[in-house]
Amino acid sequence: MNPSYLQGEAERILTRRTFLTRSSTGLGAMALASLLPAHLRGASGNPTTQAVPGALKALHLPPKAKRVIYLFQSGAPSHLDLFDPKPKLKEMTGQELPPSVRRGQRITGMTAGQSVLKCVGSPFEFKKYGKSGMEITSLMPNIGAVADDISLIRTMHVDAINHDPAVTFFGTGNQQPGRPTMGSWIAYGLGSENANLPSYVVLVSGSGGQSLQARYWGNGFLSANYQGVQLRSQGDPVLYVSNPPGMSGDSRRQLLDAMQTLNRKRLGILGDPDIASHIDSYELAFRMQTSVPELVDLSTEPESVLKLYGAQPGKSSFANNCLLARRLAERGVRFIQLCHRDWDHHGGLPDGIKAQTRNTDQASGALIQDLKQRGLLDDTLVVWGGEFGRTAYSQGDISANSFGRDHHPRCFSLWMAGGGVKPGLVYGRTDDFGYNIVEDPVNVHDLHATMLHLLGIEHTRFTHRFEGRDFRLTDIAGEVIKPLLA
Amino acid sequence: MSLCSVALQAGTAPTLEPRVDFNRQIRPILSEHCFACHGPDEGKRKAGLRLDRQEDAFQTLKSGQHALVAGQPEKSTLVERILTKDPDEIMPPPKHGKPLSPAQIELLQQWVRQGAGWQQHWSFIVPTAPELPRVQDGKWARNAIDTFVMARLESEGLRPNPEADSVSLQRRVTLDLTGLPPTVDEVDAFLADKRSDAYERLVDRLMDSQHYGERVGQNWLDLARYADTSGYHFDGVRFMWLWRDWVIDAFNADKPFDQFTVEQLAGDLLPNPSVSQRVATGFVRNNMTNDEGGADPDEYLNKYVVDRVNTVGATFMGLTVGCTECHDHKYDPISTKEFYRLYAFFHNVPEKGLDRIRTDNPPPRLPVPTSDQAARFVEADFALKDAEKTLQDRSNELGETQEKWERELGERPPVLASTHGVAVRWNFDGALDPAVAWKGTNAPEFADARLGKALKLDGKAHAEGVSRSDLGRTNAFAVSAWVRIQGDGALLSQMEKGPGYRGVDLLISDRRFQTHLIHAWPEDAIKVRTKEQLAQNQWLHVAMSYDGSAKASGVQLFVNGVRKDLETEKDQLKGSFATQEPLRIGSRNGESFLTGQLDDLRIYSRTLTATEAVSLTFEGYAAIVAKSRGKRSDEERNEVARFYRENHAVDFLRAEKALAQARRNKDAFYSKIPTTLIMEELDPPRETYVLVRGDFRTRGERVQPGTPSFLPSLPAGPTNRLTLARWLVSKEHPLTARVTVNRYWSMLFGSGLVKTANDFGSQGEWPSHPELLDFLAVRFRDGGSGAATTQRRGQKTPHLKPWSVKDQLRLMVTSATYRQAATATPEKLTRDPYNRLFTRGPRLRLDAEYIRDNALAVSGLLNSKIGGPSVKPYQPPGIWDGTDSVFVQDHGQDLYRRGMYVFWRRSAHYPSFATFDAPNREVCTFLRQRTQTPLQSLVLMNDPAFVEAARGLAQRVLKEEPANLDRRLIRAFRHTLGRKPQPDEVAVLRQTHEQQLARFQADPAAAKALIAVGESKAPESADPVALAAMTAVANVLLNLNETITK
Repeated sequence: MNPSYLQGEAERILTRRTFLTRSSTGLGAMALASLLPAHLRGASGNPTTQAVPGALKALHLPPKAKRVIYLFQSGAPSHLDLFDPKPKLKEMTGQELPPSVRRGQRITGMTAGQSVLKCVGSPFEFKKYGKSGMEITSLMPNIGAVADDISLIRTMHVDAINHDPAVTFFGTGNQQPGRPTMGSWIAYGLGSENANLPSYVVLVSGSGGQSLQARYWGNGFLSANYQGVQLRSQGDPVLYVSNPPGMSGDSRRQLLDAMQTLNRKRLGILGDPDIASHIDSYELAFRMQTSVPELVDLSTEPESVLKLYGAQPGKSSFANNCLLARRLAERGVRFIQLCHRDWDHHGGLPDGIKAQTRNTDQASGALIQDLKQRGLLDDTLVVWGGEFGRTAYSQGDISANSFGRDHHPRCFSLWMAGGGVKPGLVYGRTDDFGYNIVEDPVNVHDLHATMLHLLGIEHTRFTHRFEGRDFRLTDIAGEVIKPLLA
Repeated sequence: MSLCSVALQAGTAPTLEPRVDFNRQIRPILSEHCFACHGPDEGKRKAGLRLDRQEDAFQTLKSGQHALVAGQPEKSTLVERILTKDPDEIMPPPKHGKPLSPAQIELLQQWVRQGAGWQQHWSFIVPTAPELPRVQDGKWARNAIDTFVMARLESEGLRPNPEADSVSLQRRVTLDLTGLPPTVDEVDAFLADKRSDAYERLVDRLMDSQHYGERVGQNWLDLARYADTSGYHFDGVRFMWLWRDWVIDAFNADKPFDQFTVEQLAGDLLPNPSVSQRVATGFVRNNMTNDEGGADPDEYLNKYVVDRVNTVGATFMGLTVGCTECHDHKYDPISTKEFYRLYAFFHNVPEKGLDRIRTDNPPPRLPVPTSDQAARFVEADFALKDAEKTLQDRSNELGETQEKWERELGERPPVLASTHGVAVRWNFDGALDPAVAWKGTNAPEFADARLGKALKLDGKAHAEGVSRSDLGRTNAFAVSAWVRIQGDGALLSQMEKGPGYRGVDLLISDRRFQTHLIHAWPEDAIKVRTKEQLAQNQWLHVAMSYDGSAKASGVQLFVNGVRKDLETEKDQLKGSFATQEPLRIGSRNGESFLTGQLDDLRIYSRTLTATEAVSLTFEGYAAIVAKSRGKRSDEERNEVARFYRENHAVDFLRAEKALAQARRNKDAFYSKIPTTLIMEELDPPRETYVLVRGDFRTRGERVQPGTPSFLPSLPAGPTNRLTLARWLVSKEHPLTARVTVNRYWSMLFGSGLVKTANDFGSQGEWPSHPELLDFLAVRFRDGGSGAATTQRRGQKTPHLKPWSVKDQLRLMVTSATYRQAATATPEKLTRDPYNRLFTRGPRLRLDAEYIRDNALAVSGLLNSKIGGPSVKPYQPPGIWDGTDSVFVQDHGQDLYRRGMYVFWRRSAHYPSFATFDAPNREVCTFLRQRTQTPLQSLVLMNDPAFVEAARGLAQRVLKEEPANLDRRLIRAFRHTLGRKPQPDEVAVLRQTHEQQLARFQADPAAAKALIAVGESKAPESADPVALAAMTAVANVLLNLNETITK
């Protein structure tokens, strides 16, 4: 075979697949790399731009973070009860929200019919944590304990007022379904650092509340190679990774050998490079049959670590997923997305918040602490937040120990840690009701731009051509929020 | 990147300056580098310069200069600005990030020098049939397609491959036209057919197969975003399979594509539309819908309409009109206003933006009974009418029959209820029984009643007696009383306070008569209540009877002697409900105080029968019945009539029961009749406005329905969907035919002649064979001959009917281009890596559904039934966990239906399909991706559906070739791939078989485990070890690249 054929082959493999860097067929990417034209090989000779094995080929900026762990809190946690203390609101509990605050803004169909919108303060105490004195709820002592490592944004806002469009917007930069999610963009742009695992992995926990749709980790118009791969807590951790009952790993290897012999023979006759890719895919699948069970086996973690997270091997929980996130980060997975359900507290908020903080606080704090101990926090960006906030007024009646809050997209809180984020910072200010932003608003495009910046990507230069248009994660907007950078 | 554009540029570097082609060479540069600021988007236009339209591009600029002066580059500021080195002056501006290459700058100068010739964008010009090109090799062509392909190959100095061997070709065309592989018998028959037109006959046979409609239909389902769920939020179920089956039928009948289009977009607006034509309009309604509480209906209604415009724009016109929802198009001449004019066509559906329906179709919908259902429905309807008539007759007779009954009563007075087993009887005739203590601030009051006097209860006071131990879990007891209620409350209770509520009560709540027997509420209790509500301010006899069985079925409630239908809310009584609490009359331990009157309260230490309940009731009427008719008050007359009707009018009651049954029968039929979403038109139509920046809350100018101005105008007729549909398939429309033939080309060849099959606009890719595309489009639109310049000897002249998809596909698959061998030499891979020049036959991985269909067919498990409701085959646990719907798997033959019938849940797709690039169909999908990933390998190796298919194949060949191993292996190979294996291939399989046989002989339990995968059962007679070893071999075969590739 002549070099130009091989070069074509190399381009195909590199542009068509993500988590392949080695293969058993002799057409390994390492060998191929030397045949590649410079624009595909990456490394442009400029010392400030680092080569990456993804579509970007080289980073635009020196990166601070190499990977992301996104702890998505589905259903929208109440900023007013967790991250944004409002003593004035508490004083006004039971009184009508002043119209000067609401200013006739859009509210959902669930409270639009209420004759009066009554203020309701948080029944929970806020505490100052760490040297930074960051004020957050006493229900989250473990996140409090790492306050000096995190940047708390109190002025996030979105346009969407309902879950699905807001989650879609957070994921893709657009309310309408159809575009790639952030994890897909990053897997596509940066490529993989692990030959045996996908570069975008999703972990789901919790039940009840809002539905989670597969498109929340979808690849949109990018190749399906960049789709989030769900690590499951029941059955096979990755779909169909286990051999069928009665078939051992050795048997599988024998069958694979037979299959590959027959495939190689066809490759020899037809010369179709797709057959070479097919052969490679099976070898990687075979390696995953070992690497995935090893990855999800938490029983190898020391007791102290399990305790730190509150994880229990074999159980499905946010805690287990946080620990798995660390293990994925260690293995070089680019984008690790956790989705934890049931923050949608339209009613019974006090009990609901208590239950949800019980389920998430310890493991969230533990993850930061653990990453830090292992030196991984420096180049891992951790993000914690939901799709919007909740209203200062109660949905339904306020009783002695119960009330609800409706959707509130005009301001809410989200925190980030590690990966070049300024530690111990509180960013942005909201009014006395946690209803409007007073200064330093951050929209979703800004958040995306900032995250990409930390990963060494200029968001305006990271595009993909589809239907004749160059698309960006940040659509046509987004500013890097400089004060958030360390 | 397009290889052909590279080739084209390579061909334009000559010594003699060749003519620059505006459309091919200049427009793409202007579109990519200039239109963003000098294009159709008025809001973003700079310096008043517009370069997408000829009439604007040559105008005098504000500065007095001209961007373009034909033939005079030195006077053209465009040339000046692209050549300057001044960073403030240079175009495109550096911050735009799309600098021109030196070759592009040179081309632009050449073009201006040559006179700056202009053409409309190629795809916006109505296609005309081009002349067949002249070729040197005139023998290769089988039809006109080949002449065009050969002309291009010759210009590139390339040669086509020889024809594929029969088996490969048969497998390719069979998979392409039916989505199923040929059987071994079919392969042998085709090999044996030595007629010169054997292949054409094969193609005809495949097109006559009902599986043809499934295969071509599947491609349409992606465009039409067909799914079995609503998409947004809860993603509830919907029923659209009737529409899906309409599509299959339409392709099988080769419904002309113009008619196919009109019926789907506007079947409801045709004169006297048939059911089928109305079903067809489901195409428009396949959009996602929302049920999320609190969502804004206007917001979602807008999304639905936008989706329809996008779908129609892409499917029929290959245009990305979606961009213009928020701003004028950056590249194509469509304005936002024109987008909303298209929008107005689809804005008139009588639907809601928020339907809140999660388990059924929202309106407008059409019930479509099967012929059997229709007949039985009519029958049920007649039966209902008859029952209504009968009841009316019996009702009319009531006066007469009541008289007769009263007469007989007088002659033979009824037996009064037995006093046997009466433990307590309090008649409240002006005083309380000494055993009962009054608990109220004022003295008890009494009122006239049916039987003497009754106790008045004011909702505050009650009476108490001593606790009764005979009201126990294993004791039979009964309570009877007369009541006249004004509000809810307890008649009688003996119950502890909450939260446990141990005890028993008789309660009116929500005006329903009910009883609790509670050990510990709510987990250990019985609760039953009447379905119907009690009348207020009327004397009623009520009774409760309990048989000591500790089951809800042992409790009966009677009202006026009639045993009532009950709802059982709790039926879990394990513990005792005995309590020391006193017996309370008119309340329940400090709550549920009754308002009304109570009389003749009896407690029986036995059950009461229905006859006794009637007798007890009659006691209250006896005095009235004894009066002559004329002396009864109106109330008395009504009550006696009611008592008679409810208890003694046997014929009337029978007719009443029959009517209820007839109603239920009809309702049951009704709920079984499948429905499908359809289009209807609001009259008058909704008003449509431009929505500023796509925001549904910000209305701009009001618009009327209409089409973009750069396209032909609408044909005569009302400005509605029907006219729009006719416009799309009119002879003047430049896009529909081109886009459609291009899509069918890509279905067979993997890529369209226009690679950007969903973008025929100025950012789309230039066609690889523009004349071929136009030839096919014109033949599709008008029909005509598909012959090459010189016919091969003995070959029929291909003739195409207008808008015939079958004829179009037939021309394609019978071309020499299609029939080539797929072999790729290194030279061809270098010169034509993506086979855009067709130097070889198409060799492509199958679509997700066909990978599964193929495995099922090969295994012998396939259920080839066509159409019907979607099915839910095996999937791993937890796939639907992110949603609140529960996955209930189907069984039996439904597990083996073709992939296109698998339940398509948008939020949680059938996993193996998702893995093999099947879209979730949230929106119109034009081209599926074709990726290769290790997750796909895992599916084929380990998904139970594929493991079971391997075992099916093993069973099949063990039966067919029981004696000889090699023959068995060859048979398995041929089932899977059609062709005969070569000796070294058999050797590989034989060695694998030996290895696996040895393993399973050493571990028979493993063999049994492997062959137990799947719900189909291995034959009892099978030797598990032999079957498992062969299953493993079959697993190898089903995983081969060749198996999943056409």
